[in-house]
Amino acid sequence: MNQADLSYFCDLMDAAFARLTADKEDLRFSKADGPLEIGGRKFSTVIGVVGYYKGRMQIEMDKNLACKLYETMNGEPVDEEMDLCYYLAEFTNILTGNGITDWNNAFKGISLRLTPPAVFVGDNLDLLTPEVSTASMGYQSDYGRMKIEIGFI
Amino acid sequence: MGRAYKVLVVDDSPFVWKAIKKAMEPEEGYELLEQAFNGKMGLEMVERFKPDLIFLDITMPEMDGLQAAEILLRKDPGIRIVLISAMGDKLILDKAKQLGIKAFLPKPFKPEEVIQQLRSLLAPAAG
Repeated sequence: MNQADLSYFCDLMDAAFARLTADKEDLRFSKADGPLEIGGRKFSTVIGVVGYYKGRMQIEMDKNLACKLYETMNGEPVDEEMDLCYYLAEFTNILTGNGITDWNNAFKGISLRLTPPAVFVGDNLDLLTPEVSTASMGYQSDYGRMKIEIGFI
Repeated sequence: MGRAYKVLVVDDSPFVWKAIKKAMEPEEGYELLEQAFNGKMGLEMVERFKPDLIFLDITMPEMDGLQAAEILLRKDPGIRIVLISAMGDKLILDKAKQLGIKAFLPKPFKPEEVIQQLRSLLAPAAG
């Protein structure tokens, strides 16, 4: 994938994320200038994109922010870590699905579709996908940091 | 009052089943069945429990929602299906329409939108 297309999709994802969080007054995000590193215990969700372009989306955030996101979106605190994982998988599905929908509507024929997401939880977790064009967007909030990594072959 | 309407959720995410359960809790007259995690399981549960309404996701392992809908609507064109998905591009919506699916609930959805779908699709049969 060329840089212009990758950058276009990043903008769509950024807009989709802004829409999803627009009415959440107690959880505001600001976009970081450059890539962010997230250390310690973190949650990483990966979802595949297939169709005219092939790639994957990865959303990573620290535990504190993941819990706050769950609470803000669902109106109740997290009960069990497994519930949090289920929610993050769905959040990633929704965010990517919204971005992909906009892309599909803008360019007839690319017919992008998603694969079911997977969630990884761990301390100082690193997920690497070689040989793809990647872009990274960082977001900061009062509750922690989040990173969206987009990679397409 | 007649029997409760049976509602089936076919979605690979347990979170979605929980969200729909929570939305339905204040409402009377509906019974939420156990979750079906993919299209294939959904077909089996429809056969077994004969739900009055099905919330059907698109992206699922084993069999996706559109494939499952095609089979369900071929067997029973009057079956009530609400397609639920974060993917709502023109191609998907056209395909859903072509299959005979009349309702689409985009993700993320609000509890009141779930109830609105239940009321609008099940109300004509009430009584």
